[in-house]
Amino acid sequence: MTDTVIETRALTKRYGRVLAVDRLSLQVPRGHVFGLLGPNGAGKTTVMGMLLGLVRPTSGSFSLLGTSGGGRDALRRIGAIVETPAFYPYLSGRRNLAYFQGVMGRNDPRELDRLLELVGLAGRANDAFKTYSLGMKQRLGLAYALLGDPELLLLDEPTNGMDPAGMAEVRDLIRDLGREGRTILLSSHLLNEVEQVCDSVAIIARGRLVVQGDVAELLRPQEQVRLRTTDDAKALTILTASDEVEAASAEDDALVVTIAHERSSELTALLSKSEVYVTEIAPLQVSLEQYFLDITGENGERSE
Amino acid sequence: MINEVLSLTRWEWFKLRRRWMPWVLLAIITALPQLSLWGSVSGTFGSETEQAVRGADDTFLLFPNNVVGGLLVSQVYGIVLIMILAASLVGTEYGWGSLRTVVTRGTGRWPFLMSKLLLLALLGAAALFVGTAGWTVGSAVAMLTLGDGAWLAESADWIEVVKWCGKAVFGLLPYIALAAFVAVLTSSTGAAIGIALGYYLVESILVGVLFNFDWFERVAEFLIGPASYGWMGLPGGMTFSYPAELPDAAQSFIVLLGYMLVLGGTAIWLFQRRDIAGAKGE
Repeated sequence: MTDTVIETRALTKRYGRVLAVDRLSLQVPRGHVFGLLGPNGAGKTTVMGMLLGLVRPTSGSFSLLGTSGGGRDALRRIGAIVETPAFYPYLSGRRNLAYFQGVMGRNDPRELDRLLELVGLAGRANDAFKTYSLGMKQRLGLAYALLGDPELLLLDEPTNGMDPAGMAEVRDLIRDLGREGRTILLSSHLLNEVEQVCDSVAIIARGRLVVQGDVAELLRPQEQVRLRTTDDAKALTILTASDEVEAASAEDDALVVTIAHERSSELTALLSKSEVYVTEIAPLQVSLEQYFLDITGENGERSE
Repeated sequence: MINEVLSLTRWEWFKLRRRWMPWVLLAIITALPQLSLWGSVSGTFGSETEQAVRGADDTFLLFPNNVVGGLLVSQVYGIVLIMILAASLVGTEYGWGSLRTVVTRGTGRWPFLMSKLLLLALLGAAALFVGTAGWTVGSAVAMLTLGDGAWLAESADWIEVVKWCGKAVFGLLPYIALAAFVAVLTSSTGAAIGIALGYYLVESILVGVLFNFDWFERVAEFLIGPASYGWMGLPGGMTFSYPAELPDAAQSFIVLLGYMLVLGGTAIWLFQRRDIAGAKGE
């Protein structure tokens, strides 16, 4: 048993003059729900395609479940949906699943019932796929990905096209699957989705890895507090001069102070020594969204 | 690997039998030979040209000789229909994007394409059987109702009939390979049907022209159409554009086998090698 389920090494894909994925090196640990986060066109689907054998890498290499370059044996242990799930439009949802189950060499109608129930499609299972809404297609895609109880799931934008209630259900389902010990690679451009569902995240932009780490760790350096005092001007001078404080600024009618999480409680003591008293203090955690926009340069100049 | 291809073939049939297309094509391959049969016999029985239609030895419509006639007529229509089906069976996987869904769960690409080619060959044989059976029954009915009442030949060479069946099925295979190759090359059902049928039509016209020139006549012998007719051992001049002299069966067999292997092999190579994109919406 290897601890790294997916590892890419300088994985690159070039389409003519367009560099879709640029020397991407990732490690996805076993048992993690791992987010691949990036704006549209960042190369997420191309990465998924290379891992699933749909797209041939221009250079670089990868291993899947300990198998170099993936291969059919590894793919049989993986469930995946890439972009909008594509099935046979004239077949019902159930028959589509039965076909793919049969192609995998299995025949288990009870599994079909269970999966259709799990993704909330039992009531429409016998309707033709072409009559499904985009959200229902995504649900069928999830059922397809779960056929055969795979140990690794690669899910590309799995909530695309779903209504908010459907999105919440699918996110709950992904979290549950993760708790069962499955490794899940989830690509998304929805920051709150990754924030809610994933343990770890790799942020990519323009085909390049920007940063990779635990979701909590990536956010921690950005922790800030919002502060109101009896004398904000004096407090700002004190805080700016302090070594404990990384940054302090006046914003609207309050102060925003960047400080290590474990030291934030020392702020009140520091100010009270100078007879400035804190009247209000609240954590101001920078969202992953803001962080993402800052580091990918989507919010102006790229800060990499 | 053979087991995998056979299993995939079974599941291809699971999908295909739920589409309209194969049943519509089956209805066409049943109806067209009947139209040809009744169109010719109703206009010629009792007329001066009756003998010409029934053949010099008066056995053309008698069982089992009429099986050969049924095979020849069914194959002419069958070639067109099986190319449409082959282009659709391969091309729709790209159009619907389902190829991507199949491959991501570890299904081998070349076994998947091979299973389609195998199913097409089996369906081609089935279509010839249906068309020929219809023709055989129809011609017997024509002899009983419009002819002299005799429908059974005095003597029959069953081995020859079986050989014709094998030849007719083999004659379809290069056309299946052609349509599948174009479908993989273009990743499109519409383009594959258009190009495959276009080639079939243009080639038959081109052959008529080429056979008028000594050197080019040799070139024409290596095209699919003349080789197909040569393989079937048809008397020259039976088709509207082909001359009296067609290549012999051995050469034709090699030519057809070559087309089958080159087109089929290239299709598999491309299918195995190329990136697979999402649905094209066709």
